[in-house]
Order: sequence, then C-alpha cells, then structure tokens
Amino acid sequence: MQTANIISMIKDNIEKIGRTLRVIEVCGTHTVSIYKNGFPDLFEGYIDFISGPGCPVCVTHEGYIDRLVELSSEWTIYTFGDLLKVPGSVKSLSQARANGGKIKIMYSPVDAVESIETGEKVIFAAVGFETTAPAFALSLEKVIEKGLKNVKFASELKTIDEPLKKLFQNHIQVDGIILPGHVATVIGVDGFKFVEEFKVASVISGFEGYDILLSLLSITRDILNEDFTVKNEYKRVVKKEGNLLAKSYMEKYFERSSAFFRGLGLIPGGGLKIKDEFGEYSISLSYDHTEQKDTLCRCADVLTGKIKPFECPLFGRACTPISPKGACMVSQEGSCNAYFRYGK
Amino acid sequence: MKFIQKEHGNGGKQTYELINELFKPIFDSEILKRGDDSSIFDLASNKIGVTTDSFVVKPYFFRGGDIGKLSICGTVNDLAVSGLVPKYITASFIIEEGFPIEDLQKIVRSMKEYADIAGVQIIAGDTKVVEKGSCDGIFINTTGFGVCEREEKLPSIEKIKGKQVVLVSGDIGRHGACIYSHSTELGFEEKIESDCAPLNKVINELLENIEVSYMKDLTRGGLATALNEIAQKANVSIYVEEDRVPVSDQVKALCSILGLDWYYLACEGRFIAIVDEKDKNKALEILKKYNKEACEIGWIENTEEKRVYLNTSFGGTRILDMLYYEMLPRIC
Repeated sequence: MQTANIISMIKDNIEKIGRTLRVIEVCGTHTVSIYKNGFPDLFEGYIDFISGPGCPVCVTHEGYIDRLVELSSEWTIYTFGDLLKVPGSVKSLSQARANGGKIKIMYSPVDAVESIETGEKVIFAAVGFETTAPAFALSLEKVIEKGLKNVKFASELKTIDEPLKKLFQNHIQVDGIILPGHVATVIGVDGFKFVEEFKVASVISGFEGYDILLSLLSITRDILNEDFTVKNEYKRVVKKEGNLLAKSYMEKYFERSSAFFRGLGLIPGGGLKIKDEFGEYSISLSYDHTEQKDTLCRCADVLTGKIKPFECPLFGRACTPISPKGACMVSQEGSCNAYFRYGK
Repeated sequence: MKFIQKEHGNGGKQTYELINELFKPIFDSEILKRGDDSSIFDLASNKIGVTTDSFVVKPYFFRGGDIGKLSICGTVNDLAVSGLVPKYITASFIIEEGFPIEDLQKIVRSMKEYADIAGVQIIAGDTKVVEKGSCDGIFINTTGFGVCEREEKLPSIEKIKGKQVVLVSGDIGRHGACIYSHSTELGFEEKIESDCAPLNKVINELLENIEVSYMKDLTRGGLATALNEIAQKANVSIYVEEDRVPVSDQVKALCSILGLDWYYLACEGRFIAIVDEKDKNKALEILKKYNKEACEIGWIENTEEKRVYLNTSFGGTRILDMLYYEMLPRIC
C-alpha cells in the first residue's frame, strides 16, 4: 500500500469519527519514531500523540540510582548506557564514574558475564521490561554455571501489564493505544489480551514509520467499527503465544513483585524479582518510594498523559538534554527528550 | 617486536634514533631533515590560514584508515573547506610506553602517504613518551598552514542567502559508524569502511569552476550539527529533504541496531557546499566525479528562526537539532 494512501485513509477515518484522537504509545522507541518521522506535524488536528510509561529509564526512581552510586565505590556496576545520566538525588552514575566509581557499560548482560574478571565484585543493574528480563535470566544462568561468586543482580525489572491497567483504572482519556512491539515478541499477542476490557482500540506495532502508519490505520478502523480486540501489525516478529523459550527463562528465575513507576507510584505485581531459591545472586536496593515533592519537574504528569512536555515549566529552560532535570529528558527515548530534539 | 620505551622520549640517544631512523626517513621532508628548532618556510600569499587539531581515535587502526591518515585528512580538510590550499603540516605525537614500534611505523607511513596525496609537506614535529596508562596508545596533534589563492572566491558565512541550495559530497555517517562497528563489546563481524579522505582536490576543482558561498566538512556531530552551526552563524533556516540524504544500507542497519541517528554520525571525508541555484548542476557534476553519491539535499530560507528542518519521507516536518547526547566512542 502506498504511504500517501495510508495517510489519507487515516485522515478520512478520523474525519468520519469526527474528533481529534488521543493516541498513547508506551514504548520509547515508538516515541522516537513518531517524532522522528514528523507524525505530530503530519497529523496535526487529527491525532494528539501521548507518551506513556514504557521507557524503563523514565520510570526508574532516583532512589535506585542513589543506591547504585553508593555501591559503585565497592562493586563494579554493569549498566546499560541510557541509565548513566539519570539524575539521582545527589549524582548520576555518569558523575559517579567520573569520581572514580566502578561503572561499566554493557550492551548485553549475557556477553557481560564473559567479561567479568576473576575476583571482581559485580552488580548487574537489571532494568527494563519483559524485553530485557529474559537476557538477565540467561545471564544469571551463566553466572550459576560458571560458579561465579560475588555477582549480584539488582532487579528493577518491570512488567507492562500492571502499569497499563493502572493507567486505564486512573481513567486516562485515550482513544487508542500503540502497544510495544519488543515486549510483545516475548509475551505475545495473548499477553496483551487484558487491554480489551478497557474498550480502547489497541494494536501491537513495529517501529518503522510505515509500521506506525499501519497501526494508526488499524486504530482508526477499530474505533469506527467499535472493535476493541487487540490487533497485531507486527506479525513478522510477534506470535500469538510470544517467545516460549524467553518466557520459560523468565519464569524459571523471576517472580512478580511490587515495583515503583514514576508517575504511577508503587504497583503490586508491576515488577520482577529474583526467586528466593536464587537469592544469593540478588541484591535488594531498598529506597524510599515516596515521590519527590519539592521539584517543578512534571515527568510524572507527562508519563501519564496529563500534560505535554512543553507544558512543564522546566522544559527547554532549566531542563534540556544537556542538563536534564527529569528522567523523560535524560533518556533518548523519553518523551521530553524526543519532543525537544524533534518537536517543531 | 620492539616497543616504545620511556627512553624514546627523554631527548637522548634513543629519541635521536627514533627521529632519525623512523620519522625523518618516512616523512622525507627537506625542511624537517634540517632538524632545527624551528622550520623556516616561504608562503607567498596575502592571506594565510592556520588550523590545529588533535586525534585520539580508538581503535587507532580501523577499516579504511588509521589515526595517521585521519590526522592528515582532518587538518587538510579544515583548510580546504575554508577555501585555502593546504601547504604545510606539523605533527606532534604523544605515545604511551609499550606502544609497538611497528604500529608507529605504519601510522607514520600512512601520514606520509596521505600528505603526498593531498600535496602537503610535513615540516615539523615533536615526540613525547608518557608512562603506561597515561594515554591510550597514541595521540597525534597536527597543525596545518594553507594559502589563499583566490581571495575573491573565498567562501564565507556572509555569502549565504535565501534560496541557495545545500549539496553534500557523498553518503553520510560512515566514519562514526565505522568506529562503532569496531567496538569489541558490540561484536560486529562486518566492519563498516570509514570515509576518511582528503578533500582538497575536489574542493579545488569546485572553487576553480564555480562560486561557492560556504563549505563545511562534516566531522563530530555529523550533518545535523554542521547545518545547525551554519544556520546559527548565517541567521537563516535550512530545509533538508530526508529522502535525498544519501546513507548507505550498512550505516542504516548499524543505526537501527544501536538506536543511533545517522544525521549525527561523524564523517571524515565529506563536506557540504552552499551554492546558488544556477551553479547547482555544474557543482554536482564536479562532486559526482569524486563520489557518485553526491547530491542536493536541501535549501536555505531567510527566516529569523535559525533552525534546521527535516521534511520527512512521510510528508511531516520536524526539527533537526544539534547533537545533544553523548556519543560514547572516541571517533577522531
């Protein structure tokens, strides 16, 4: 199908619906793709794009960063690069590294296990949703196989279903939801069936501009047809049942736990912790979950669709990608960061 | 296998041997051979340009080049895009003890090869050796001198005006992508070839044949950053057509895997030229002789916003801003 045709079909459908649609995406890669391809400009007056709580960096509490910073004087912290600049209450991991903290960037936790030096005391900063959880499970298995002692996992892993339920239970006003394709590769279409009860047009989407256009078309059709079953527009990757092997690894090593989400608070069942039987490989980083009240940062409201990034009083002034005040500006996949870099 | 030792930097016998047995024979410059504390040379011109740059790239050998080639091309290109003819270059080395002398020879030979290709002479140098761990293998600083042979044709930011077109000399992002592809942590089997190359010949031909308002080589920060610098300095906005920007499939694939944006990836052998619409075809004819990927990518608008806009493939428009986030590897 020609791109121009899809765009005009989306607009025609919205004209039939008769109002500007509010569409939420909950994956940072989607956020970036939407802004990068100029969709807010292309669909101005037709679609209002909202970014939900699906960027693992954005929803991470500063208390987790603070504890990693403290531990980095004694332990080597293995972390994904995008966690480096998230501000803690005192400093970021990047600043801790500049001050001599032992912090290493990993691209894959599985490969990182191979580079652990003899006698090195290591903490894996395990962040992400179901997309990264299987990789941490596999790396834990490798650690056990290799008989490595002094290797711990600080799990801040999240699940996608509970925060989405909470978002809908909090009556977020949206017409459609673009569901995260990467998570769906693991949990499958079946993993998102729970969305149907909220009577919102929903679609699992790929990440190219064309994928997102097809997903927007699907959303507009479903609204017209009042069809609220989950659609899969990422069939080349996402199966109905998901990735059974990845799920089995997650189930072997992790169990559900409560987890803190910026903007949504503490959510029972919203996280994954290492099962007690593997407790010797877990390090619990307890921190105060109460939200910071003494800041003007409105990340929490951005993540729950209450405001647009530019409506935050700090946006573009005190808070920029160079000097981020909130996690949504730190992460390259955060909505504030994407809006700052690509917004028109 | 021989290695650089602290003694190679102490000014004594081993320093003397390193200079006389490695640097001087390879660089083969009459001025350098004199071995004086200063190199004295003639530059018959009313306008002389000077530029200096340091090179700390890691790894120092990469597909399509090495730190030596980069140190010559980087400095030659800075002079060339300023409308100058590069003539002389100095080279300073900071080397970590334990550095393989064989690698140093390769790097120095590479400098000589590309100095010859660019038609510049290496006329002064210095070597310092630092303790193990004080620097990462080898760092090079080069300073280049160029002359202005066509003062009336000297490109300048003041010559930029609305409706002029923006041309790019080839596909973008190769050098940055090359360095990423060499990262041992990422484990890419296929290394992307850097675009590292001297640009003075193509630029010379361009200046001989047409009026070029402004040129800029695309280094750190890539195309987006270069265009933003121009928009800021010239008080104009620049519009870029996404579909026209040449990017290789390899670079696109790497960016897709790593979540990078090719507009911000460094080049080391590409430049943009801003010319009048009437000169566009002639300019492209010349550029394409050197690189078939050269093309027109956008145009200048006289607006107060000083922004760079990207018209996307889907028909939307977004801002193409400067580089804000950290690019982790050392690229040059």
